[in-house]
Amino acid sequence: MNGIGHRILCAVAVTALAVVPADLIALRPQEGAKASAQSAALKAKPDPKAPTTLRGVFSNGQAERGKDLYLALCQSCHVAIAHTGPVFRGHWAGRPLSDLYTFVATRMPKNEPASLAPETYADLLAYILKLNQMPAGGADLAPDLPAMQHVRIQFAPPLKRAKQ
Amino acid sequence: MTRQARRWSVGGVAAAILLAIGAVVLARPGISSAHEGVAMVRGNAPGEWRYWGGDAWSTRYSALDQVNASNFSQLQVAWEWKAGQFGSDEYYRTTPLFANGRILTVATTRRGAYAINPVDGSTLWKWQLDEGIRWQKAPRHFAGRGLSYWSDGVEERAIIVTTGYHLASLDAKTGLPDPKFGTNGVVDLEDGLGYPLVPLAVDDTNELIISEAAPLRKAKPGEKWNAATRTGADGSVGIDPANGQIANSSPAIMVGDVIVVGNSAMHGYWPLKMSNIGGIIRGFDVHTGKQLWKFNLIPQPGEFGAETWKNGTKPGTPGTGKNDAWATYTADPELGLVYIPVGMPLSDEYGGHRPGDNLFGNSVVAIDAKTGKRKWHYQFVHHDIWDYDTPMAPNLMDVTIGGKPRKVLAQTTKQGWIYTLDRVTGEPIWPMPETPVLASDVPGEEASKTQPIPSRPVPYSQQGLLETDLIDYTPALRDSALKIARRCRMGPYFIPPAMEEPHREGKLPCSWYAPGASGGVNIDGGAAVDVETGMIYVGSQTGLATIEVAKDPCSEHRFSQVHDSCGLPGALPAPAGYKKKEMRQAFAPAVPTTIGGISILRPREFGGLTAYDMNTGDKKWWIPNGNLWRQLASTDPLFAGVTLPKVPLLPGGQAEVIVTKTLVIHGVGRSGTGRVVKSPTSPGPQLYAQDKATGKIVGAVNIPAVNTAVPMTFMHQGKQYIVFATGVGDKTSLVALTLPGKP
Ligand code: HEC
Repeated sequence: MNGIGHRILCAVAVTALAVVPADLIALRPQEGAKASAQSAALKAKPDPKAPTTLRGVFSNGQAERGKDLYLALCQSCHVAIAHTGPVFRGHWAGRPLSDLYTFVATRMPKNEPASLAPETYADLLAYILKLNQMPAGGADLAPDLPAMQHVRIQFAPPLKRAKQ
Repeated sequence: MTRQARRWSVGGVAAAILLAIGAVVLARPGISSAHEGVAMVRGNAPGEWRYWGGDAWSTRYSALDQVNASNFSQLQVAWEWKAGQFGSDEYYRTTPLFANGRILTVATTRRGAYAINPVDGSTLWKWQLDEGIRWQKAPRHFAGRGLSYWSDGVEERAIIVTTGYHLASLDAKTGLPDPKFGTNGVVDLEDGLGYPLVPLAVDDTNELIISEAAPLRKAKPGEKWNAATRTGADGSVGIDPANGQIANSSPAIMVGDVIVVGNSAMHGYWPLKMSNIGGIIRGFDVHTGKQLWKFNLIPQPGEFGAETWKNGTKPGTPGTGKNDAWATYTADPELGLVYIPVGMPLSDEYGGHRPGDNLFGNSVVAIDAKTGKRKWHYQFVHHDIWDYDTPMAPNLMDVTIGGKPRKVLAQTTKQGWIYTLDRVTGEPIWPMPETPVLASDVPGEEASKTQPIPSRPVPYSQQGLLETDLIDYTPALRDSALKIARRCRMGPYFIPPAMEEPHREGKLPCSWYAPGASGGVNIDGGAAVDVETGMIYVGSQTGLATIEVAKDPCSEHRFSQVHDSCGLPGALPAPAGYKKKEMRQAFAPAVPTTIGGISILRPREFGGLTAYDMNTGDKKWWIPNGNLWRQLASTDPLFAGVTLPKVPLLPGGQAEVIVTKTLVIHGVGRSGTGRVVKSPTSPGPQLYAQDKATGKIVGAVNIPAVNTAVPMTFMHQGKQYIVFATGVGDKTSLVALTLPGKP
């Protein structure tokens, strides 16, 4: 978990990234125009040719960190395997990765939403992707919302049962 | 019970190891065989830690003083006992015991029992039960909170309640099961509850997901174990899972020769079935394992409190279930009473199926440990729809109030209050008037019209959301915060959950939720007390969330926490015309709690560590968890020119606290995982010592990783040790700190 705490302690504006949802921005009278543009950007349909989560968007080390974090902070309410399988796939397949990130980073932990650092949420996301059989790549997934908007969530085809 | 004792790992190789190590122990000088003539203090021997909470009163107090303000920072790691070598765990949530020269603990999701040499951290013995699929699908898959200890001065026992809900009594010297206890030292706790035991089977190799998805089931006639797929019936028996499933998270408590044991239930977040098994407390004879009595935490027809369930309480009645006492317990050996903190009834956020106050949900119940009869009870939350389980062993204290000596019970809760009661009678010490609270607008929900509101001490966590709670750094920010706040139901406390549907005429689609399901105080936090001064030190968290219910199309429940269970194993088939609803949260979080990354809550002295003088009920001091702060900053233009304050680094984590003769000692707990990390500007995980009177940090010692449970302390061969659990998965361990050099 090298350096995460350090980043929290000194780089303090980091949470802003995780917790400025489009609909909130729309609340601010003086920023209306900008807000609707951003809302539109966030809701934009992803480009079907955009890179997908099958291209190694996180690292194995990051997923390992995410697993530790998950056990410590999330498993008391649901086990990680709950974020796999047909129901989970049905919810998230085809969506931009930023949607899943935003969900976790603004809604979880359910009892204290948006309480973790963006890097922590990115580590947790890496673990969830890994659990869904998505391949690791060489680099960590950065908690960079605009970049994640251009990554589509794609699941590997379920393993075909060998004919008997 | 006729079935054969299940497979044991204490047999063959394991037994051999056990004997070998046992022999070493017995030869070691200084580990005496018993404690003759030692006067017990609150059920504990001086310098020991025989109960989860230090002593029977759950004071978490030790009179030791070798480690004090002058030397705390010189503490060193004496040894680390790698629990992970025996298997993996969730987070390691155990507080070990120390009795008569041995550390006694649990470890791994298999929940084995272990004895450890306090001098070098070597394993003295281990014991583990192979519980087959009863273990695999246990609703609580972790090592649990710890063991219980019993001794008559000659014999010694380590008592364990396993993951799969068996009770075992082990010789604390050797780890061998007591042959006079139950069947070969083991009692099946699913027996004796009034349900027949049936053969069990599984359809998949996974652990239980949550609620009832992929549980156990009753085996079909003749069903066998398929070793290739690891499915089918493996010979395990238990209560038919169609009734619900129970398990255990916390140790039993010893009151004299009676083992008092309860249970935890399946989670009630998004239940599929309309009823499950209600909580029960039982007494067992430590000598024989015989069940002495049983106390129903959902009173059965004819029993006291049954009328608080308007639709009745017979097992299987729609809306009945849970009321499980999953936390640790407290006892007053002199009064012969055990104090049971009780969790909430079935379905965490919707109670439309169980009209009434739902005793003994969300109560503390004082039970006579000999007879199993209720002495008194106090219900903190009527008809709970907030997941406000009573989450922690109450602390007993002797204090002087208004010039009179009083025997009190102080119950820390998720609600953010300490409820203070006379522990002999159950009467409130300070007024707790039944106060009108908000009504629910969810169809079918009859929220309680009133709740008891403690007049003192003041709360330790954010409660509800009022306009006065909002930030007002600038008029524009206050305006934005108000706009956000008004999107959900507001109120001072106990705001009923809202229907998630956005377009109900005149009704809001969400309610503010503070404290949330994790408190306040929850599993990690709770209080330690100074038996000399009557001070209480509460570790809690604070925060703000929202709470909503909706129809889960594949659950029997009319409403529950927002969830779509369709497609999950165990769920109802999808109704005709069912279309998967897009998760609303996926694109637009219902309501944010921040602006530009800054919470809409005004920073207050909440969460962290709060000290109260319980002679008066006055708050004395407050510090954030770990005394760790961070400077708020926002790049959002709305904050231009605003000087933002420092706020606690870990508002959402509970400090885990104990008290010694001169110190309050705490660690940040698991919420520090990944957040309290060594770096050029941070020493990383530490254990902290505070001055008891002021809260000032007087010492800090670096530790290998954040503690994940309440620490404990004891004296052995002239040395004081502080031991705590740490780590997750297969990286769990117990860490022992002591001062350098010879005693
Ligand atoms: C206090 C209980 C609680 C904690 C702690 C918690 N969650 Fe959740 N989680 C929920 C609930 C309840 C839902 C259902 C959706 C909702 O109500 O918002 C959920 C849903 C989710 C989902 C999407 C639903 C699905 O099917 O997978 C993800 C992903 C998730 N949580 C991740 C996390 C992560 C990561 C953490 C740890 C940082 C965490 N949760 C901590 C209660 C919790």
